[in-house]
Amino acid sequence: MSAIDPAVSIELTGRARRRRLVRKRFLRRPFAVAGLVVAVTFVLVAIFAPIVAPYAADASDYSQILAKPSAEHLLGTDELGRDVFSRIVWGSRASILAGVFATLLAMAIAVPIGLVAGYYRGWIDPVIARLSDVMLAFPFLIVAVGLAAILGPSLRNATIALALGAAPALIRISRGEALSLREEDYVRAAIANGASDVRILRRHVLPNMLSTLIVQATVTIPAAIIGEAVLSFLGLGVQSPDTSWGVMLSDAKDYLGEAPRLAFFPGMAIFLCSLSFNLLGDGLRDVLDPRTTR
Amino acid sequence: MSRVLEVEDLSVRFETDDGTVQAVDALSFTLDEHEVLAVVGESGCGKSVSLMSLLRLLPPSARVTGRAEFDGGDLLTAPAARIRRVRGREIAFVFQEPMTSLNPSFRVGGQIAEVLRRHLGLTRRQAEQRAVELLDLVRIPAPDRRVNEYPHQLSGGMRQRVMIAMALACDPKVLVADEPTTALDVTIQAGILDLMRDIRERLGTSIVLITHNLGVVADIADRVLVMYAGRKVEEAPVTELFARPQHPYTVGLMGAIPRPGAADRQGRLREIPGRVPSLVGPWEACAFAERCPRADEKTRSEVPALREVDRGHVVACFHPGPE
Amino acid sequence: MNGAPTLEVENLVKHFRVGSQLVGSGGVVHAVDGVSFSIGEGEMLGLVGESGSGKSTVGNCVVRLLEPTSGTVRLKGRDITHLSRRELRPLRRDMHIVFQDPYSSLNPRMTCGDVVGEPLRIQGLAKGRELESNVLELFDRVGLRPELRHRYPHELSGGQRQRVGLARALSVSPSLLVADEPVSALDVSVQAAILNLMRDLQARMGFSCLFITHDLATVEYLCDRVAVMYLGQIVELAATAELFASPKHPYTQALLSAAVVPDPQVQRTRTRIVLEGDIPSPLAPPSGCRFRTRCPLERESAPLSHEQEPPLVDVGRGHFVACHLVGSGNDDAQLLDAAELG
Repeated sequence: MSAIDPAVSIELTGRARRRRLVRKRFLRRPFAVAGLVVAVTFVLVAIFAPIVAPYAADASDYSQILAKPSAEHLLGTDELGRDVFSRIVWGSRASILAGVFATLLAMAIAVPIGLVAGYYRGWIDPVIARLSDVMLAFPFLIVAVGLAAILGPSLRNATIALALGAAPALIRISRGEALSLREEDYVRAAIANGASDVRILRRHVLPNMLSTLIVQATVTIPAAIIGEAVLSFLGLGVQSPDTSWGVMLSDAKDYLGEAPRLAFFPGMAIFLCSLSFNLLGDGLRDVLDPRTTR
Repeated sequence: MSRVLEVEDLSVRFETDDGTVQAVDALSFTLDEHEVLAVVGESGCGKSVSLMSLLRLLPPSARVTGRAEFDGGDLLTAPAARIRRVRGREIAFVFQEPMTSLNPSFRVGGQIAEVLRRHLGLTRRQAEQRAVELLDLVRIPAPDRRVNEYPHQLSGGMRQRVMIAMALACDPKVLVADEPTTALDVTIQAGILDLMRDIRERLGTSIVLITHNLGVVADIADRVLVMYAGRKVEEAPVTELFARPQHPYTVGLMGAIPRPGAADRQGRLREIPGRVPSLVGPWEACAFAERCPRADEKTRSEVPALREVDRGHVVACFHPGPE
Repeated sequence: MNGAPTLEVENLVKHFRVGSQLVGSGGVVHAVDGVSFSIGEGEMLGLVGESGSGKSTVGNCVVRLLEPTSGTVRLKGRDITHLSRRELRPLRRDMHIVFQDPYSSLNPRMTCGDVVGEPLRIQGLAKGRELESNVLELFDRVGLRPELRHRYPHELSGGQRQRVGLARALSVSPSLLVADEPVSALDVSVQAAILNLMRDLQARMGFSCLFITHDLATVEYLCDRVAVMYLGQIVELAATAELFASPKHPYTQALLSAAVVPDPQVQRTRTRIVLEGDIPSPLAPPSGCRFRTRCPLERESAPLSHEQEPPLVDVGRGHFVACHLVGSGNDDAQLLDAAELG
């Protein structure tokens, strides 16, 4: 049993106490904190890109082609004389946007579907399972190519393709959670109380799926970030003059001999960004479970 | 009746985030041949931890001190190779959940045979034959057929018998049964208890029975050791303990159980208020004080030592007595 | 509805289909196969049985967490067997259930106060300040300190959680409470407190109770009448004192004999009936009398017991037995002398 501070418990209500506890627990986990800091940094950089980036994404300085890192150009320049650091900063927008929105969209689709399948079962469950299997059969790449062919390549279409690619796994997970939660005694107690399905799903099932969903979201984001990089690398995502890390990787591939740093920096950005979300997700999952004792 | 096991001053400590947990504190007991010793207490009293510490079955965060004299040596300081020989061969364990103690992927006979081959070096054929004999020993009908079945094909009671068979495979001196019948139905439990009595008589195995069920204790134990918050609070031969319990916790436990056939339905069950204290931190008081109807200044400031109140009957209490 | 018993169950049957829904590999679990009993106002009926007896299934059917396959369940005269969820909702105020596992019966993400107040909220019986004061009163009634209503379930002990479960169940003042093994998962000393609490609450609030358990001693302490179940059927039903004084069905006698008594002198000298074999699977219950595969008196009851299910017969004084060897002339199936039961 965790030690409970009597002074605290008398003053604060349940909700405030819980927030305090969550904060305390989170701070005890250095990796999670590091993940949070780095992830937030990336997000802020993306939001405040115009301020952070010293140069425009496509500002070319032909006098400084493939320059090494210097005071003027922190990470050097690329084959068109564009400041690599600025491009990383501007590129973060595409990655974060794609990563976050693809995930949100995927969850908005997947969670209700999975919830219904897992909670109600019956005939709808196998139907949904087969449908999501069909979705799984199409790699998101093919979907992206298809969308690009029909609607033209763009970050928006890439995001949609990524969301559709991420949805089946999320459906499966939220279905599994709903399935196991409906057997819990407190759900049965709520039914015995006469609670409506909506109330049960809202009050009893969803909140208890929350930590799993949050972890899944924070694991899907890095996958989406990488996915966006892949699509942009192939020209199916961000189009010029906008840039993204994937585009930078694509440009860098021709210069791997001379200037491997052109691939290294965007690669590191992808790596650090996705890792930070992963660590954050791990920490959040631990901390959000009310049963965690520290 | 010779002594088989002598435990002196056994203490087990765990380092946790909330501090040092003293799971077992200065526990001493003995076990003779043919004897059934019941270790009684509720959850968290340290009964399982104390026995498991003898065979180093605890997680690495456990710190164990004391002495456990067995077969001419001290178990607590014995080399790892010796402990491996003792485990399963000279001291065998049977746990509560037969469902999870058996490997679902292997046949029952094979699992018993594995023990025999590992410890006694029998050949495959010999081990399989002995496995059938052992299943017969634990009174499983049609043992030659059952030996080829998988755990899921057996009922809970059968599985527990298989566990007992595995434990007895090497003819151990001591059988430690940790809540062996708690997960079983009442009528099945009766069969298992019968079996254990039979084993004690036929094979002379000493049994340490860990349980919270006083009825089971009354059925099969010779001596009873009552534990609370990691300490021994009372020990006595079984008839003596039930007739004249001295420690308020023991008295409370006995009063808490509804007895079948008791004429008086008007009487209330005795409640023990409060709950088991946290095991963190050193004790300067009687561990039971905050729940004890006999508590006073003394019990709140001093730890009571074990004192003999009658032959073979010890209590750790400043105010022992029936009420 | 004066005069109508609080609960009437008639020929309740509940079968579960298991295994594949498709071609042939499924089986049917005969969880409950023809159970009838009634509970009067303010009465506590104990339902006793081991694994596979179907007692929990009966409890779930009574509160309509499950829909019976056939038979009827009447709550205060009203047939609720096949009502839809919407129709059931207002009636749910009148019956409630307490579960066995104190760890999974409370939503870990709700405070205990919210848990206890939920039924009132759902039934629209109170809100805001009134709800708050109701919750406080309930906490007091089950012996919990008022501060605990801000705590989360995992911060409470098993016994305290069961009290919360009780408070929740009784918050709407139901006429019927179903208690499904409410103390089995608790430590012995805590069990006593909860059992005493249930006794007090029942005396004070006057609800009827279906008390499901495997422990005969508890039933004797709490219940007015007892029904013993085996493999989906009731084999004996009588007033508590009568059943313990004079059990007639061989299974009841075996059960009583198997129950360990915390008294070494009694426990070691009493006659024991040890049943051979395992409880048969509810997927394939034995034909005729379901107990015959383990019954020590099987030879006497054969061949009738192989072919025909024994009917539940009234042997007088409200004592019912389902055994071929027990007729309405008050014979005992002489397995042992009741006096030896301790």
